[in-house]
Amino acid sequence: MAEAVIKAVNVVKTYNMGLVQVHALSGVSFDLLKGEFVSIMGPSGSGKTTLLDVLSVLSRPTSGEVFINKKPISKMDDNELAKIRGQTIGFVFQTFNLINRLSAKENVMMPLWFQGVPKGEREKIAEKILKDVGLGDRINHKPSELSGGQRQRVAIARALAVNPDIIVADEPTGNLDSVSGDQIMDLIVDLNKKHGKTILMVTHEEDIAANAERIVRLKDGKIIADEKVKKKK
Amino acid sequence: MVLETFSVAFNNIRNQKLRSYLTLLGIVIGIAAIVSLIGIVQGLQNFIGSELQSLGMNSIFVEPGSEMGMTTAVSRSLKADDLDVIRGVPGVKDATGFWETSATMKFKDQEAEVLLVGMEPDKMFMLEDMGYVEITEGREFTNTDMFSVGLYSDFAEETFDDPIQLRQTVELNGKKFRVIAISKPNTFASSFGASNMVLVTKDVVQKNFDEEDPVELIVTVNNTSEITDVQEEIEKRLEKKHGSKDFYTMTSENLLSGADAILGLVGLVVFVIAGISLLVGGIGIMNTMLMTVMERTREIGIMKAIGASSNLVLSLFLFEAGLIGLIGGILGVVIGALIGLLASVAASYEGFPFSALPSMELIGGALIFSLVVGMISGWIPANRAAKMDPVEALRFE
Ligand SMILES: Nc1ncnc2c1ncn2[C@@H]1O[C@H](COP(=O)(O)OP(=O)(O)OP(=O)(O)O)[C@@H](O)[C@H]1O
Ligand SMILES: [Mg+2]
Repeated sequence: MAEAVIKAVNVVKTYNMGLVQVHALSGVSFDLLKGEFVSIMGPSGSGKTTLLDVLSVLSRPTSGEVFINKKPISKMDDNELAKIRGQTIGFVFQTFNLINRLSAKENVMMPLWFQGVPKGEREKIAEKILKDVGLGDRINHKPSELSGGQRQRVAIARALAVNPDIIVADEPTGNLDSVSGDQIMDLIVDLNKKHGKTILMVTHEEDIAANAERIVRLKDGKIIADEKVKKKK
Repeated sequence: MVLETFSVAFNNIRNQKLRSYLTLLGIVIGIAAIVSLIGIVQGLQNFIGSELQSLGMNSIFVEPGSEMGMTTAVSRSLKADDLDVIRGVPGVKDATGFWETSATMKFKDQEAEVLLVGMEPDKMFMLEDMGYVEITEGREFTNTDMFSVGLYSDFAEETFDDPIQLRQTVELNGKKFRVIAISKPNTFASSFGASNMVLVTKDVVQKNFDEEDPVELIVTVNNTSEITDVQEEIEKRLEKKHGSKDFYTMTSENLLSGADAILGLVGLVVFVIAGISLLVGGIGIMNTMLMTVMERTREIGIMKAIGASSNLVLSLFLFEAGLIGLIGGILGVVIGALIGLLASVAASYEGFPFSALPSMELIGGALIFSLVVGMISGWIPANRAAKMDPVEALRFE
């Protein structure tokens, strides 16, 4: 059996809203294995995004432990978590989260900057990846000059810039029409099949989720199902 | 890496144009005030210092009147035989005086009012030592020079349509005098408006113009370290002789410290004004940066999500704040230097040839200071950005 690149053990995440406590996650244990493609599904408010945030060390659990490549994050300081986000995990968001002031290329260059890659090299890498995702002719466009599908490609290119092992995507097709959505999914499937990236994706569309090999279902902050996808022939 | 943080910060500033420029105003005014006024004060200090230095640190000046009034022209309380008293004081090396009177000079049918300054020919070396006189053409005065004058070169060249040459004749109140000496201009005298001084021997003033008594006495001491004792003794003996203290004495040091005290006070006022505008400027930068951090919350969230450390976010915003300060500082230095230049031009036009241009140290200090003010003002906003929780920041609309 492949090793777990991300492992969650009994993770609880509670938000304090004044007097009310929101239990976004109440005891989630979960392994993401190397090379896997896992979809997380569940109704709105069930804790999908929260789980993704905790698993990708964007936030710390209230209790429980998360291991990245077997190392517990509770022993790491914020700078080490930043390093993991910068080197090991690439993020793709539903709302793209590009920086609108910057061109596609500059957006893709940014995570490389955080890793101290020299400028010339950054430009080369960014241009190559943008070509790979089919945006070779949009390199210097600002996000506002691109379609939704194209923006999400820029975001994927940015996630790939540092060549991370894991790609984490929160409803990557949620803001796209079905045609662009399918194209983005093809891209993500390719990343998993051809480039061996481990992929963790949140979605609430069954047919999108079916691209994965495993589907985890959440409800009220708990995992209620975790099953292999039956491959359609 | 540092350079890039810098250029990213710079682009961020450029992107907010008007607000950043308005923010700069306080810093610009503060730094301009510091640079121009300290420049002027330093220029004045250097000018006065070098002028007094050339008078010699072993000189004592005896002036009529009281120190407060400084009405030298009116009161004539000094007597010619005061010099004998002074020469008797132990520690005194030499003493001489100035005998002054006004006269009308006529040259080739043109007339001009001049200030005749009579001095003792055998003590002229004292004036030369102090830089009052430096003969470039002609010869020194002797006791028999009853109809001789010495002219400052600027006076000789500029007073009449034709320049007066050595050995030419001028008339003083109708009597003919020969120009026997031309001296380099006396910047110290001309800076105090006495640009029409004409040198003669004291006998000329005493006998031809009936001014028996000197208007000012100059004393040198053997030993600079005893100058205060000698000064006190002179005061004591002269007061006894005059029956009242209708005179005062000064050393170069007294003059210098007096000037320094006044300039120090000016400096204090400058610092208060500059301090207030820098404070206002700093608060302005802080406010702008707080707004910037707020507006860019989502961007900060994105940066952190894709691997920016808190330290990088901190330094990014600190740099941005420092850069706003520095840009304000550069503008302030330029404006301050221009004001200094204007002041220098105006001052030399008025006869004070001093430079109020800021020194390299002042410019460097002002720039570093503006950078530091910017960074200090940016500290709280930058920390707020650095501490931001990425998840919260990404949810921010
Ligand atoms: N910062 C927060 N403060 C308070 N409550 C929060 C916060 N973030 C999430 N929650 C709450 O936690 C629960 C889970 O939220 P989460 O965003 O993980 O759901 P989700 O499954 O991603 O929903 P959706 O499908 O709508 O994106 C919700 O009840 C939400 O209101
Ligand atoms: Mg969500």
